[in-house]
Amino acid sequence: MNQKTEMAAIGLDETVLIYNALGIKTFIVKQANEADQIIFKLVNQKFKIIFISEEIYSHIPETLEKYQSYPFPMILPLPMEKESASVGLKKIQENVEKAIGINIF
Amino acid sequence: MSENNLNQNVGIISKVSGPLIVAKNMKDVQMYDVVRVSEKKLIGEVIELRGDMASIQVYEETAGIGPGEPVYLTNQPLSVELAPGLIEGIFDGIQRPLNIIYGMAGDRIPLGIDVPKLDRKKVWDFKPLAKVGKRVVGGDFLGEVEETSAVMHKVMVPPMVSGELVWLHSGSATITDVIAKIKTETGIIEVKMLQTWPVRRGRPYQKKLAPEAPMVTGQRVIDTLFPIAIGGIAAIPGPFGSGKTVVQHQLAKWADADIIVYVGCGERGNEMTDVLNEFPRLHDPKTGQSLMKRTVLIANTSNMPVAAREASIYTGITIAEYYRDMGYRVAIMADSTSRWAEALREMSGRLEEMPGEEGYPAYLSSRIAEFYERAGFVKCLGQDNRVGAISAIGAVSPPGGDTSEPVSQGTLRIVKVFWGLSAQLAYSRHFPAIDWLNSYSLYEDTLNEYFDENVKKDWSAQVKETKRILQEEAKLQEIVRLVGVDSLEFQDRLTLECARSIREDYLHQIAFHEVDTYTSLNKQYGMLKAILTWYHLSQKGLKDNLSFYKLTQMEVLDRIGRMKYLKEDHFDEECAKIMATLDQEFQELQRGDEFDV
Repeated sequence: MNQKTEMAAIGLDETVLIYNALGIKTFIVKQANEADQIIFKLVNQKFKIIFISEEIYSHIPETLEKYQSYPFPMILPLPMEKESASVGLKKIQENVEKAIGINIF
Repeated sequence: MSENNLNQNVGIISKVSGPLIVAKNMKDVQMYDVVRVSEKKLIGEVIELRGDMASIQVYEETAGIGPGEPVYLTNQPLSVELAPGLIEGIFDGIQRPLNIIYGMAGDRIPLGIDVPKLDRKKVWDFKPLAKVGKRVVGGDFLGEVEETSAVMHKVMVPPMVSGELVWLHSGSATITDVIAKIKTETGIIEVKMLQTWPVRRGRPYQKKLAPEAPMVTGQRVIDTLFPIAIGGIAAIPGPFGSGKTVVQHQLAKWADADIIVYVGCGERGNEMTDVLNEFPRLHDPKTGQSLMKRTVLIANTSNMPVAAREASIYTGITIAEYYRDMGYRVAIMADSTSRWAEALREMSGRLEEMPGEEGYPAYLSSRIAEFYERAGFVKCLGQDNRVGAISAIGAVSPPGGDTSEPVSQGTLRIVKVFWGLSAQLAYSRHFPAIDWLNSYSLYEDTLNEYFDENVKKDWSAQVKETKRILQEEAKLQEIVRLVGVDSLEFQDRLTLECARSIREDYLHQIAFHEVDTYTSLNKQYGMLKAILTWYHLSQKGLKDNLSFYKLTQMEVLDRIGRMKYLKEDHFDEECAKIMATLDQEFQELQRGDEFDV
C-alpha cells in the first residue's frame, strides 16, 4: 500500500469534528448543497472515502449520481446530527433489488 | 402480288399472353422496333426475335386481341420526341401526352389512340444563336426558344450531323418547321427543332467527368450527412410508409437543378396527383418561378399497362439527357425502380426465360446499371465544351424493407449514395426517416472539400463530429437498454442529450412546414454550430462541476430547438443572438455555482 488512503467527513455541525480523532479530514457546511463543491474538490485531490451526514446525503442526489459510476470516491452516509433515518439501508435495498431483480428485505 | 407484299410487311399473331404477343412472319423486323398490333393499332415493341417469330411487348391492354390478327411494322425503334414543349408536360411511359389524351378522351386512355407526342401546332419564337457560314458539329447551339419563363430551350444540331451552316431561320416556327440547313459531305440536311432519339440508346457526349460539386437539396440530413454530387446517383430504399415518395418529392421541389424529370413508375396515382397539385403552387427559391415550369412528369401509375412501365424509365432518362446536352443540370427521380423491375420480371416470365433470383430475370442488374450509368457529369457535345449533368435518384421498395433482395442489391452495386429509410424511425415519426447509421455517401470526401471552401472552413470537421456523436449514441443506447440511463457517467449522458438534440432539432425536418421544408447550407451550418457549441461548453462545464441537470435544462436549448423555424432572411442575426445567449447563460451558471470553501 504505497498509496495513501485519504478519507474525509462532511457534516452540518460540529459533531463531525469527532472524526478528526481518527485522522479523517473534516468539513462543516452551512447548507447541504455546499457539500457538492467540497466533494468536487476532494475528488480532485484523490480522496477515496467521503463520509457525509444523512441530512446532506438526502439533499445532493445529483452529486451522488455523478460519482456512482466511478470506483472512487465512496460516498457513505452516516447519522450525525439526528437519529438514523436509515438512508444507507434504503440505498442498499435499492442496489440489491437492481442487481438480483427482487426485494429480499 | 399485292397480297404477297402485304404478307411480307405484316406479321400474324400466333400467341397472346397478357402484354406479351408472339407473332410470326416477322423476319424483316429488328430488335426494339415499334410495331402496331391488330387493327386497333396498339403500340408494341419487339423484345425478342427467334427465326421469323418475334415477341412483342404491348404497351396497352391486350384484351380482345387474338391469334391471326395482323402486326404492322414501322421499322423504327421506340423513340422519344425531343423539342420545345416537353417542360410542364405530363406523359405516360411511351411519351404520350396525358393531358391532351384527357382532353380528347377523358379519364381512360382509349386503345390505340394516336396523338402526336409533342404539340405540332404550337408556334415558338426561335432566336438564332449560330452564324451562317460557320462550321457546326453535333451538339452546337443553333438557336434558342423560351420554353417556359424558367427554361431557355436550346435548339441543337443533332448529334451525328456536322457541316457548314448554310441557312438559319429566325422568328416564329413550329417544331416541325425547318429552322436550319446544314451542308454536309452527303448533301444538305434540313434541321427541325424536333429530334427523335431511340430511348434505349444513351445520347452521346464528349467525355464523362468526375462529379465535384454538391447538389444542394435543402434537406438537412442529406446535405449534411450524406450529400449527393451534381451528376451523382443515389438510391432510396425503404419499406412501405417510410417516406420514399415524400423524400423524392422534396428533392424534386428543392434540389439545386435546372430541370427535374419525375418518373412515377408503378406507384399510386394519387402520388402523381400530389405532384400535379403541389408543384404549380410552389416556387423555386432561385428563379422565383413555379416549380412546374422546370419539371417534366412521366406517369405510369400502378393501374397502367405493365410493359409501359419498363419504357417509362428509359423515356425519362432520354429526356433528361436531352436537357443535359443543352448544358443544364438535370435531376431525374424514379419512383420506384422496384416496380420497374417487377415489370421486367413479368415480361421475363411470359417470355419463358430462365428466372434468376426471386424470379427476376438474370439480366436485372445489368438493366439497372444501364439506367443509372446514363446519369453523370459530362462534357457535352459541341464546340463550346459546356458541361451538363444528370443526377439520378431512384427509390427502391424492397418487400418487407429487407434490402437483401435482388433489386436493392443490384442498385447498391452501382449507386454511390445510399439513403436507407428505416421503418423504425418512420414509426416513431422521425422524418425524413433516413437512417444515419446505415446510410452512406461515397461523394463525401470530394464534397467535403467543396463545403469547407464554399460554406465554412470547419464544415467537414463539424459533420465528422456529428456522425461520431450519433454513433456514440447507438453504442450508449445499448448499455442504457441493459442497465438503465442512471448507470452512465454524466459525460456520456451529455453525449446522449446532444445526440437527441441533433436528431430532434436538426435531422428531423418537416416537409410540409413552410420554412422547415428547405434549409440553406448557411442555416444548416449555423444550426449545427449552435448544438455543438452547447455540447462543447457543457462538456467543459461538467469538468468544472456544473450541474448536469442545469446544463440540460438551459433556456437557450429551447431556442436552439426552434432554430429550424427561423426564416432564412434574418437567420444570421437570430443565430448570433442565440450564440450570445448561450455564452451568457453559461457564464451565469458558472457564477451561480461558485462557493467559497
